[in-house]
Amino acid sequence: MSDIVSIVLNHGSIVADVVEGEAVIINVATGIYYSTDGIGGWIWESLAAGAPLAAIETTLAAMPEATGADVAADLDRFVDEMIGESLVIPGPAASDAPLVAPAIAYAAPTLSVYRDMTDLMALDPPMPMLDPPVR
Amino acid sequence: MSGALNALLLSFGLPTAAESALLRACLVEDAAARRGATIDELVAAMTDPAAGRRWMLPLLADRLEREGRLSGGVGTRLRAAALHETGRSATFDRITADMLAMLDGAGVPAMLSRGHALALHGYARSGLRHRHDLDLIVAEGRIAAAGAALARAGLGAWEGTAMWRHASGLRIMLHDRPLPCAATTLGSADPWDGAASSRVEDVAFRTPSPTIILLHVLLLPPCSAGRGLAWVADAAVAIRAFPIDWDRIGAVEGVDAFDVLARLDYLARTIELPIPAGPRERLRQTIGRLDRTARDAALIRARRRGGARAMMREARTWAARVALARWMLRPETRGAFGRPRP
Repeated sequence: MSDIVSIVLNHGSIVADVVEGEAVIINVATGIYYSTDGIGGWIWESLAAGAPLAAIETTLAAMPEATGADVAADLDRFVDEMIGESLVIPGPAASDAPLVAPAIAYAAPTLSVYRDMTDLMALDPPMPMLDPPVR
Repeated sequence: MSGALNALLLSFGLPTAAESALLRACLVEDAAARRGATIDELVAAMTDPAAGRRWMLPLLADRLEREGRLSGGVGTRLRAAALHETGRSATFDRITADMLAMLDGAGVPAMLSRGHALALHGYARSGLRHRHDLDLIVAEGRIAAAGAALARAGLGAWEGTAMWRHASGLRIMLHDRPLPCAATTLGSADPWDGAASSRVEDVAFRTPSPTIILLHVLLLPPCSAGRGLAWVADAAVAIRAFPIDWDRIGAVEGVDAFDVLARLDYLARTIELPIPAGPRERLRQTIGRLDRTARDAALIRARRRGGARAMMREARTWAARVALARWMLRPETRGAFGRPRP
């Protein structure tokens, strides 16, 4: 695991939704959107629920299919990528509730990046935001 | 004359065949309407930056999701577009509620115009209706009072306009009439008459009656220089979501009858909406009674909305085209098809 021990979703810059295990995330400042499904979608849902990274890693490492996989390295790379895209930021986890392991086989999480609709999504006020607008 | 008349009706800014295919994919209930082209082709046409059709993406996403066909890379793309619009709409609705409450508190109650009213009150959810500016209708003579209230709330104004800038970047436009031109018979109608009530974010708001909203939607294109197609979706939603007073629609008089009939025929034929035949027949009779001046006015409108080329393209037979050409070349109408005067 990298130096970052705890992260949260960057609600100030993103809107996201998870449908059928696929997380679609939009950075509203750039108009770039992202997709991650499978284990990546599960990780995103877990982070959205406030789970700490350590609990996510422990739960994934305990999956039978994860035997032989370097879960810590996979998670490290995935988290670094999300931080690099400003989708998550360092912050305290909000929940210590136990995680339920994903009901899918383990595979290294991947983040797909799409830049094909930036002109459609960026700079079209009002921007999507989760915080109340300031008059 | 019926062939040329038909061409004239079809030319009133109505969608082309390619545009109609996209609109059908978004609006027609039957899934077969979405199988004429691949989803990739539909999305490519809707995301063309020059075409201004991104507003269709959430509608298409909604249809395909209900049919279990929102998958793969193009599914992700559509989900992202729908999610973005949902987020924008949530912000938009919050600002709308804020502005309505503030104006109401200042003693200047405002009414939502057609698109906003339908977004909050007709579409299945407001994120299905793309919106750019917040248009608010206040009673005649109250724009200054409403503007003063917006200024007190800290909004900046563009000098000499009734246009205000919200901190989010959203433009807020104040109007004292629901259509941006007075050229229609609806121009003098009181939009507050028969207004309906609804709520957004626990704030009460008024909208014109559903029938008046539908008429506004049908009569907006002749008031507008652009060639937007959102009127098709708005009309479809209004007709499906509300009981419409079709007698009132059929009673439209004057040149407006051309626009209303042309669009109702299009909506019935191409979007497969349940529009009764009676009011359309009554509109045809009204058109048949129009004098030459009114027909010429209709031609001028047609020119604004696509002109002679569009009319010729839409004429289905050579006989209709010849009749249309003769009509255009009449001295009293020829000027309507020339170069626009500044």
